Amino acid sequence: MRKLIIDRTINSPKVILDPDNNLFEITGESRPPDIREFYGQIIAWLEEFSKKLITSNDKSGKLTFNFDFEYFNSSSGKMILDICKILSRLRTDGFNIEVNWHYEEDDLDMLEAGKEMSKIVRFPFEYLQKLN
Amino acid sequence: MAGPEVFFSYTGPLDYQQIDLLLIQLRETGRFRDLQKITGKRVYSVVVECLENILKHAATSDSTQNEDQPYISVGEYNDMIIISSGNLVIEKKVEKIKHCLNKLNGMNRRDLLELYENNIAKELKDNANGNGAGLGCIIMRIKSNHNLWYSFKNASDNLIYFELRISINKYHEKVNN
Repeated sequence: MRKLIIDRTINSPKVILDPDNNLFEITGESRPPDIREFYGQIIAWLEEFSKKLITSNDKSGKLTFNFDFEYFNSSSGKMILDICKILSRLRTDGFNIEVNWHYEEDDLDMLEAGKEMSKIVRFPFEYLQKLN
Repeated sequence: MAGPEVFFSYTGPLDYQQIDLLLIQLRETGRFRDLQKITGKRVYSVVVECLENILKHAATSDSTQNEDQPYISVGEYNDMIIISSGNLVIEKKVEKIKHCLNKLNGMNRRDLLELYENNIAKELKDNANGNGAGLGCIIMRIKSNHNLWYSFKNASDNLIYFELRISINKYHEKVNN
């Protein structure tokens, strides 16, 4: 499946969705002006990826998704939740999916945001603190 | 009573490009850079939500009077960081805004987080534009951990000028993990 790579901008995060190299990450600041267009392409990619996974039924490999946000606005939060729901469904279907939620040292708000996401989608995340 | 000592402010029309510029300016402001990381992040978050709310929801007017222009300011007062914003709204939105803010002000942190959880998925379904002001206000209230102060006053063209003030504690205990 083709990879999806979006470069970081001043108001949108870097996105790497690369199944060939087992790299799945969203990194940076998220408040893109056209939230639905930006996250729509990510969600569409993940939906297609999910379908291929389910069709292949290959549950051997571990897929690790990294969320490493410096900041995201309220609109982005809704979209990130949608992404987490897709990942949660895959995990429920028996795929070996792991989510790493990164947060900066002392940024307990970002840690809490991850815990909220995890709670809503019922998917235990790993919380990784980045030291300054 | 003296008001906050403002260290960042802007008055005028907004678009996404202007918001990007303002946020760069805010981050480069010395008083902002000197804040504890968690305080700075909360201030930043609230400023973004304020600016985006103004952009998405403010009424427009042909008035060129300064007091009708949207504004945002960040200042310091009594170990609190005060974020103030103002914009025109249409009169029929006033009661809804009041109801929303009064509801948030009456809630504790646990209730706010629950409200956030309940609303985040709901707004995705119900709001085709994905730009509900409710979630932004909930976040501002959570980040602030103080009541949101607001006022309405008559403005030009039968519009109402809405002001919002959000207070954030300047100092937070450092957490050792």
